[in-house]
Amino acid sequence: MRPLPEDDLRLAAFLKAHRPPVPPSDPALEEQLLAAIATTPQEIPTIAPHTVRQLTKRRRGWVLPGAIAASLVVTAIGYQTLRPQPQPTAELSAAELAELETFIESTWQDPVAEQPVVYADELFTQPDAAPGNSTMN
Amino acid sequence: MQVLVLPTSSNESHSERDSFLVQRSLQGDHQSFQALYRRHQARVRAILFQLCDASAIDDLVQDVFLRAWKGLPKFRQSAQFSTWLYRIAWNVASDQRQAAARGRTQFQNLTTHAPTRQESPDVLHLHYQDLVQRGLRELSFEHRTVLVLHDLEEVPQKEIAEILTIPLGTVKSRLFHARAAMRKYLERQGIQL
Repeated sequence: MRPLPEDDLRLAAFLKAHRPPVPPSDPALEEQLLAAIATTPQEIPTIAPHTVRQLTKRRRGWVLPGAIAASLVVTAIGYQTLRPQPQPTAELSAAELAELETFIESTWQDPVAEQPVVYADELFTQPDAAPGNSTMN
Repeated sequence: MQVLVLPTSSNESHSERDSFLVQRSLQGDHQSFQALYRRHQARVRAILFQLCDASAIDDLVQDVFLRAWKGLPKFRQSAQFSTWLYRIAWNVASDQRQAAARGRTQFQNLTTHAPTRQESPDVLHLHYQDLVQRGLRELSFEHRTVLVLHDLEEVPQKEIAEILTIPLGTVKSRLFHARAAMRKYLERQGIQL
């Protein structure tokens, strides 16, 4: 069973109250340390191997997105360059133009002519109402 | 004699004063490093005492501060000096533990487990001190480290994770198991908390 926080507090308090006393330091220790650092140069920071590994890893991480972006650019440029250009329209002769015009006229008018003509009066007139039977006086 | 003037504004934090002293030490000022030693040696000493063989404690403290002096240019200013220093202390303790494991004898074991100093006249208190010391020695090195740092030295869990370079969850887990083991040991010795 997980102990309650009060139990933890009681345990920590007990440990702190009865922790073994730390033996006092040698009075000469501080002087010895100062003498030691006086003759010890500080290390010049160099790039640690793990830092180099991290940098290499970071650089490697950019390779894949860079390759994808570059291939997209190459594809776009290649498409623009290599796609078939639209051919200029050939000049039509006078006979061909006349034939085309005739064809357009015939196909344009045919469906229009077949449409039934509806006049506006017919839209508002009852189909069974005789012309003389108006109720209006 | 040159007098070292520390920044003393009321809201100046402990770490900012450390940072000031570190900057001066990096310029070769031995007095600033001496000030850093005086500010932190007691806590470093207490941690080492709980983790290592007490007979070599002075040498270990000196080793920690000498390593700190040499490695000071590598210290990242964004981090807390105390966290970095406790990490060095932990490394020194680990090295000492491995060396001791290689050359330990039965006699050394006995002397290690014996109380090193008796200052209080209270027999019960002395008994409890002995039990706490023995209980800590019963724990694994990883569990003891976390328990000492957190429950005795009151280092926050997040800082412990940085010192030991382990996830915060691992710190919590180790603390839970260390407390459980210590509680069980004390119960076996007839102490109910």
